[in-house]
Amino acid sequence: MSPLLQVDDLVITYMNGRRRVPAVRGVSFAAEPGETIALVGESGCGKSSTARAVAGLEAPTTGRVRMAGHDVGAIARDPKLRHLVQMVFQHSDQSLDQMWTVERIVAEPLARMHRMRRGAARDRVVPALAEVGLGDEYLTRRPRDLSGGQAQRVAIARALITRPQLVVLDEPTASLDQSVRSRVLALLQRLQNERKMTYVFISHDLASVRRIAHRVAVMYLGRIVEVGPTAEIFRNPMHPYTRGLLESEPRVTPNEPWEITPMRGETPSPSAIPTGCAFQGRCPLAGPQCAAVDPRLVEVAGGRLLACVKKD
Amino acid sequence: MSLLAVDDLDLRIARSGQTLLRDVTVSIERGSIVGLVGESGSGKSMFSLALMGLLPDGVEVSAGTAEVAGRPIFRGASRSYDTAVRDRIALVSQNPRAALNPTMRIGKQMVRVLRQRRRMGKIQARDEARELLRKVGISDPLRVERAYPHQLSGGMCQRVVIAMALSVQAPVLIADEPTTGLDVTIQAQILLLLKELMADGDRAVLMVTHDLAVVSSMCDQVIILYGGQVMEVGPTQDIFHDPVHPYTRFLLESLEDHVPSADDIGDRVTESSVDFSLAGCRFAKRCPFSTDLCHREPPLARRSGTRTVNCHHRGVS
Repeated sequence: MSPLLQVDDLVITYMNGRRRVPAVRGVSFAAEPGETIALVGESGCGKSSTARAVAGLEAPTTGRVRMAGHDVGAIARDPKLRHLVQMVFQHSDQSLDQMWTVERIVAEPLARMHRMRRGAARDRVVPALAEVGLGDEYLTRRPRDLSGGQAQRVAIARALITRPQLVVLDEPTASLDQSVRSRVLALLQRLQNERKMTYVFISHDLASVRRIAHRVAVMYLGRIVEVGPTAEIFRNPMHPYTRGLLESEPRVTPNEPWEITPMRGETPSPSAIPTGCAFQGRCPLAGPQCAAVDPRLVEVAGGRLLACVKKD
Repeated sequence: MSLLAVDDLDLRIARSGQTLLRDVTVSIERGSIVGLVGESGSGKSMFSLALMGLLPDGVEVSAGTAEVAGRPIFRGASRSYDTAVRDRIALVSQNPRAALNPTMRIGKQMVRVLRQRRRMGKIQARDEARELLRKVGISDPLRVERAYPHQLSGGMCQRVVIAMALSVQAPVLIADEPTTGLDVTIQAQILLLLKELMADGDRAVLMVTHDLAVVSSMCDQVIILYGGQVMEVGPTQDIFHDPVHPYTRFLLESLEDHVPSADDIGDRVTESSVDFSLAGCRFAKRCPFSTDLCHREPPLARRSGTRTVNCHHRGVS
């Protein structure tokens, strides 16, 4: 199968005054139809900038993002194609127009992209809401009447009503309560199975990633340091950063107390990235060659890529 | 004897009489960490505000008693906050930057607190501030004391806030979502620090959080709160291993690493927002086992050994 999404050597640089601050420093990955690829990492790793570029909301400084062969920037500008890529944000309660009814919010992409009239749109809005588990009574409600979980369901209904092939989910469950989060993830999974959409799932929450993603790309300071199938990454993390990340995550282990093993140090500022490997200052394995060589992401086993000179 | 003992505390909105927090009982021994867990709207933050004397206008303590290190927190018929207990309870909150003065260097802020609260001289206070910064894992206290809060990372600010909480030598520390908003590797560092600071056994920590994984790894005891009502209390291991209250079961089933089983109730729990005007159990509207009695009357605490369950039907047998 050919990939639906193809990201090649994506670079995004922001200007801070006169200084160039690199947010994304050469990221490449692909995703198949029906696949969820998760981009995980901590603040400053570039996952959200990558997400915005994938959704066509941010122009790459250099590099390309293509969907089904087309440049996503062009897709986002083309009224006939832009319904194919949609994005769901973290704070849906804030990203929805507070003055609009749920019906208008969910119907808006139809009106905007397909110039659909209100009556015709309603025939699509009602089943779209039903699919995310909301009944007709929600049509006339406004965002302030919704709980966090309901607002996120509305945002999902709105994103999916145009039948996109690619959906970028930027921390879609981060502001939700545990019990609500679980239901929203289940909903996203069901909809993906039914429609074979590709998800790019941005998250810092490893538990959600483990549950929803087929593949995981771990990012650190604007680079992907490791990619692989979700189960394998969690079972056998190869990059020292991935290992540190997984060991830092609190886990519910009713039968054994979790021994906290923190990684040392903090992520350096993107404007002061060391030469060589960006992770060397925090890495337990760092040696002289780590300061000299900037490791490239190379395949180390079937479907697994790693950027570390210390690999066996 | 408990360092912090709260008995049947009620909070209500003065104007409407609506009960925000009902019959909350908490007891924390010296050297232990107790987790107060709840989702949004559970009232967990309102509880910590009450203990800090920081309740918003219009919310009052309407019943119950609370003591910290043997001294009552609320006084008189109106149960007003006794400011004399302030140096017995310290708060570490979610947003460390907001807790610090943005216009003052860290060192100066710390020296100020030490001089005012512990009556130290200038030089002594400066030395003590450095010592405290080292104690919370800051390897270069000289740089940090010269910095303004905005020049430090979130994790660094939280270390400073913890150092300031330690500086008043309060026996009780309330950690209200202390790592929410921090990156996971920094969260692990802060959690380990809190655990290490507990090791001398002089203090007690009330850890207020929505994060069950944090509770499971940090706390000896858990109090599960929903809609301003205590649902279940017990030793952490026991609660996670064998939850009794339907809400606790529902909550634990929603964890990502929960292994589904035939006894799961999650699918039968309906969605509904918390109704603070409800006379009965606050979870009754959503509970698959609720009866008329549940809707009518608040459940009484059923105690058995180390565990307490507030449910009409499912007390510990």
